[in-house]
Amino acid sequence: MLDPDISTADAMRHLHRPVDASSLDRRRFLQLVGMGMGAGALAGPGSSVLDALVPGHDPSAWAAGPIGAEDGVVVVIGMYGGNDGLNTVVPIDDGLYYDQHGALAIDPGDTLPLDSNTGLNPALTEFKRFWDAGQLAIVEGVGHAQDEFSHFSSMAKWMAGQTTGLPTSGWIGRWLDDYLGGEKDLYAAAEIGHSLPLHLIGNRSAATTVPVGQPRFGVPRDWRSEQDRAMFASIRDAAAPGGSPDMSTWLGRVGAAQIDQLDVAATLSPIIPESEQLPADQIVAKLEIAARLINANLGFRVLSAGFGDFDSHAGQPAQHPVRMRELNSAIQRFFSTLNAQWAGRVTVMTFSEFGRTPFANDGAGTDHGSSAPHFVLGAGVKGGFYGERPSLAGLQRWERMPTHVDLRDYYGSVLDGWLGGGAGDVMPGARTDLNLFANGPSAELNALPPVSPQSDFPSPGGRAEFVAMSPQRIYDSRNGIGGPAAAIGAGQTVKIQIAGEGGIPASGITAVAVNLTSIRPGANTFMTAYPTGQVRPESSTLNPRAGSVVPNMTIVGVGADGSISMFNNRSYVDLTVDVLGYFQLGNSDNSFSSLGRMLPLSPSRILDTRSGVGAPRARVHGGRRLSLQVLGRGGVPVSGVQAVVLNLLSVKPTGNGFVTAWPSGTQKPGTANLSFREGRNIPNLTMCKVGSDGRIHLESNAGQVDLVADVVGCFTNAGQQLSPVAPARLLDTRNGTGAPQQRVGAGQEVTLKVTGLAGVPAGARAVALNVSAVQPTHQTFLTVYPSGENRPEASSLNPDAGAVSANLVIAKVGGDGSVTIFNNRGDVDLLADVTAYFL
Amino acid sequence: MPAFNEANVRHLLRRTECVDRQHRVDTLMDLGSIEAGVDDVMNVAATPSALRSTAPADEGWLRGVQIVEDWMQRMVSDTRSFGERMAVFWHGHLCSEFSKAGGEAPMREQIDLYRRRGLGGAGDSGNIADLVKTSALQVAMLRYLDNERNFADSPNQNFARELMELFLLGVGNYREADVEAATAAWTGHSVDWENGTYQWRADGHDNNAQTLLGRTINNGAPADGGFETIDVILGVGSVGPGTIPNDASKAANRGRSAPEVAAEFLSKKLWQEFGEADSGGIPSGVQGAMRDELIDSGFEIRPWVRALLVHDDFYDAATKNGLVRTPVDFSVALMHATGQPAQDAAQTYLMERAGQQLLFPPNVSGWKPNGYWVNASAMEARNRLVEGHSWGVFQNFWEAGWDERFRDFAQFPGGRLYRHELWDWYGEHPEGPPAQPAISSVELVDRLISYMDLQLSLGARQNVVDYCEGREAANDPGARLDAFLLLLLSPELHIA
Repeated sequence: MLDPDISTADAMRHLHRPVDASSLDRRRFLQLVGMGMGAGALAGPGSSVLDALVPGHDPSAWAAGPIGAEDGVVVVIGMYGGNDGLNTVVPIDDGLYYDQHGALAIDPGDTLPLDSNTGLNPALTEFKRFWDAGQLAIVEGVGHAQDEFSHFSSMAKWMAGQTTGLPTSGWIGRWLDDYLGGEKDLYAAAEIGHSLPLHLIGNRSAATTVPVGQPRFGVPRDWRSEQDRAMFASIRDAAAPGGSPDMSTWLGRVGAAQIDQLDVAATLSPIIPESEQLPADQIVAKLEIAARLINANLGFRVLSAGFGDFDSHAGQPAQHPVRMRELNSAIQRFFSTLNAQWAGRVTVMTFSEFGRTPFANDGAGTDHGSSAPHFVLGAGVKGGFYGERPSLAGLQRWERMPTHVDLRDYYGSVLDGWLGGGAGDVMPGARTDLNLFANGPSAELNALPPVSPQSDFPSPGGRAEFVAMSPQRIYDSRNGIGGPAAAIGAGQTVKIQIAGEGGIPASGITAVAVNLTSIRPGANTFMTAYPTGQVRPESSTLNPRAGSVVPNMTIVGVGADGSISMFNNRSYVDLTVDVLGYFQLGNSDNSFSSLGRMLPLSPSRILDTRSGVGAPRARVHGGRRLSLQVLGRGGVPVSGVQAVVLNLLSVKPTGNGFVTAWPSGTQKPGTANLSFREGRNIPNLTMCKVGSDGRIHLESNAGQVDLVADVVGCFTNAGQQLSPVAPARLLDTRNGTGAPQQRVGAGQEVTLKVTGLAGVPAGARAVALNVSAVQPTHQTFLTVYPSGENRPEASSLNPDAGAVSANLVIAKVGGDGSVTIFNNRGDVDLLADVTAYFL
Repeated sequence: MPAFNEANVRHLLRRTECVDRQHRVDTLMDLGSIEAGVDDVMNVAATPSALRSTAPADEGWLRGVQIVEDWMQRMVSDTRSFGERMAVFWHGHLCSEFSKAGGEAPMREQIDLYRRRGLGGAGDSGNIADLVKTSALQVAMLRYLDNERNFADSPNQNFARELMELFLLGVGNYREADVEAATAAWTGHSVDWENGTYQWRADGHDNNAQTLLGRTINNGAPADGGFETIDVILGVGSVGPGTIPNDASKAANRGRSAPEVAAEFLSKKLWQEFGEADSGGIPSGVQGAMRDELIDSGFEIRPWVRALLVHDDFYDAATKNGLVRTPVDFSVALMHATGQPAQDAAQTYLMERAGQQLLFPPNVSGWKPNGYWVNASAMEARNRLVEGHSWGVFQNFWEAGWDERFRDFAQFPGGRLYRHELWDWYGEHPEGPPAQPAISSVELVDRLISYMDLQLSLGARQNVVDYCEGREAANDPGARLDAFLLLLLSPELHIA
């Protein structure tokens, strides 16, 4: 955030003038909060978010919502650092532009032509669409009389809406001073970001700040809502001893900000997605939030968001086009998120502290300039050129372009044309209304239909069959396989290419079976695997523990670009990805050409070295191969089997290490199927191709360990095809999803309906569930099996007391479309996320 | 002369070492005067070891995260950490930024310079002119402000402008012509494209003599032209001090000596970092004392800093109430309270949301004080930073089963809180400690305050006691565990 600078001018201290929050009228937002807002509700068109959230709320009491039917909304976009206006609105007919801008200049043929003289930057396709619809105003030559060419003093003038004297307040802030007859409102204007810029600070009031991402602190969590409410009440008491904060001290102002935080969190958390689910580019994310705030109809009239860096002294060819693309994406995202009924009531405008020099420097950049063109767009805008294009004639090396439109007139035209007037009071010295608008704000205006950004949920690729492979490592963050040699940081998502890698076909892949191993994160965290291009789901695939190696297998859909995405929630973590096989589109004609269909089986124990099942009764020593017959055992056919699905369990190893599974008759690969820790019982699902003699090999690399294997399915020519779904949470006993909101006690079972939900059809024969156990009171085991059948002697998950652990379970579905989860000991909270089904 | 009392000693320690650790308070209270206390605070290691990262060289992002963690850890762990805090000041004043500077290695070189020379160890004062000159020719600064591509035939004003506007003199005290002259004098200093090290490019230097603030420079050794701009502004070296032009936009300074104006500008900046940032200025008393020390010593850092810390203005009520803890200061205070390591307690993304991610200043003017951090959005990040301490503190508390509850404890630097002390879950266990009533809420809160070495008002303490007693009355004594978080969420913890 590029705010004016306190250290540059005395004037700038006003940016830090404490906001007198005690003068804010809290009546309005006390109405909005403290009434038990549920999660997830969103207001539809024509209503306020309150309608959905307030029990017994009468929508008619708000008429057309908290703001008037003909009240306009303005979205202000700050382009911080100084945007190169000449490369934004390109004077394609001016040879001097090509002389002075040199190699930086954009060829006429590359621009989006507006007329014979002017072309838009090639990235600004959305602006071109508004131009073609007559809804984009381009105001040329906007600025002020430059003297210092400083970011900070120039930005201060722009933010203040004042070109001489000390900037003491901002133009929107002063408008806010008199808004609603002087009645203050926390939900009238907001900066989407982490600090409040000068243009939103008035003499008597100030806008609020909205975080980029759902506020987490201040929203009671379902499983401890009473305790959270008590805590928040205590925080409020501490923030306002004696009833209200003492705004003459920083202690009081900190308290007031705490109260604002709790209020804003309670109000906004149903409206704003979590930051990880927002687009990666900051300005795109900010405008998505702006649209949601408008849709919620809380009363917002002005929303402000900034981005950068536009200060392209050097390397402009790599920098400016990216900023332009971000700007264009942000506008597109905004209008596609905005409810249609609001499109006639919103105007978007841009500003920047200055343009750049017409002469390029030899560092492939431009220096601080003066005037620049700016955009005003929306359904009410009267499209066309305004102001005057600054001439480049006669300019020398350090000279800047003249200014033709005073920034006060630019702002004033928006205030008078869209915010109901007040330019004369807010902006002393504003003289000329540019008449930018054809119509005033109205839901009746003929708005441009939005262009949808790339779909968040591409439809799953259809039913697919499994092709087993010898295990192969396709990603290792420790040494740069498949990506950079860098641990995955907090909040970071990495893309892992699947299609076309390591013998996997380049197309037709719908899902992949991978074993994920997290290695020694800096702190306990969780990771989520999901198809690239989809919104990251609210589920976890892997729960890395500090200092440990934690594996989990998953079956995850592959995104449209042939990759999967891995998200890490906190700290940093190394990750390896071993691919066990992939799913490709199957034959619909049931011509049994492949052995890629899964035959789900009720879990059956085919190996237990503790009791001599499937192998001698002896612990497995590191480096010694165990050969396990799988065909003809536990329901696996004696022939025609490509691969088996096993849940492997390591029991009380003497050290740390890992187990590798591979088909007999082939070379041992350098991969891991199950990482174990000394003394712990750790399970992991695996899919292993079967050797020609009907066996697979298992080998651990260290120590001594007992191994247990339960077969839960196999791939043959007679089973079911797989369809990935967007990962979705079917069970959460902490909040009552899919089962009662209570911990599952010793010897108790949960019956979970899995079909007819989250895209899983009624006829599904098996589902891939990632099951997590949250803080069991005892070390226990869980068994997942088809409802209605006898519980088998098998385990799906072996959680340790107090920890969070997860394992993928291929669960055959019982006759009633349900699976049953049994807990052996103590009590535990259970979660289950579905990632795919077999039909 | 400032009064020698515990309140003033604690104020001195909070501002210089982020936290008023009890053992430091004890040390300083034994010294007998504020001046002696200031000398103890300034008695930092002369050459602190370089910041460390363990990640491989090609994991640049992770290495950056690790040096920040190491840096913050030293602010918490070092007995005398003022040198580290001074380095944070210079990092926000003579800024560079990780991405543009080219990653961890150049940033670490710059930060380590500020750590070693930004104050100087006892008897070995840092010097502002030397610091700026050294920093100017380091890769981080050459890249960050584009001086690496400032050549005679293609001047780039970025560094020369900010040197005057933000680093040394302040806006309005020079003309555009001075920016152009300084730009020319700085031409030729570059970074080798091949190996990323400093490179002098004599062929790219503008050899024409320049006039800066009335002094002729850039007519001696070509590579010294840039240094001469600093000499003119600060009045050091042989060129002679500059004069603020008669047509400079800041009328009050026209005709004044440039070093005096620079000394006042720098003093105000330091005051706003360690004194107060409410007035937007600096009291004339302390400004005069600081300016005179700079002028008399040729811009030595230690006497200048000492002049601030021993001045009466530093101990008056407006100063004591005039600063909000920066996110870094706040995190250091939390880490001291809970003993949690930086990698868990000061996570990068939350520091960014709170408004201060080290190595990533928001722009060339660095971070702003006070109001910049105090709003709903930044406060949410601070609250989550507090919340982030609970996992580590309570790790043992959650680990074992109920039947071993007497082994379950929350770990604080000053002691442990056992589960059975909070509430009696299943009654007496045969192998457990003898049954005893859970501790009272007053005792609980006082123990937590002591375990975390917190300084809180009686009102803040009572508020948490009230909460705990409310949970007892609601038959939910286990929720008293949240007292630890509530103490750390007290508004008082945000005041520097």
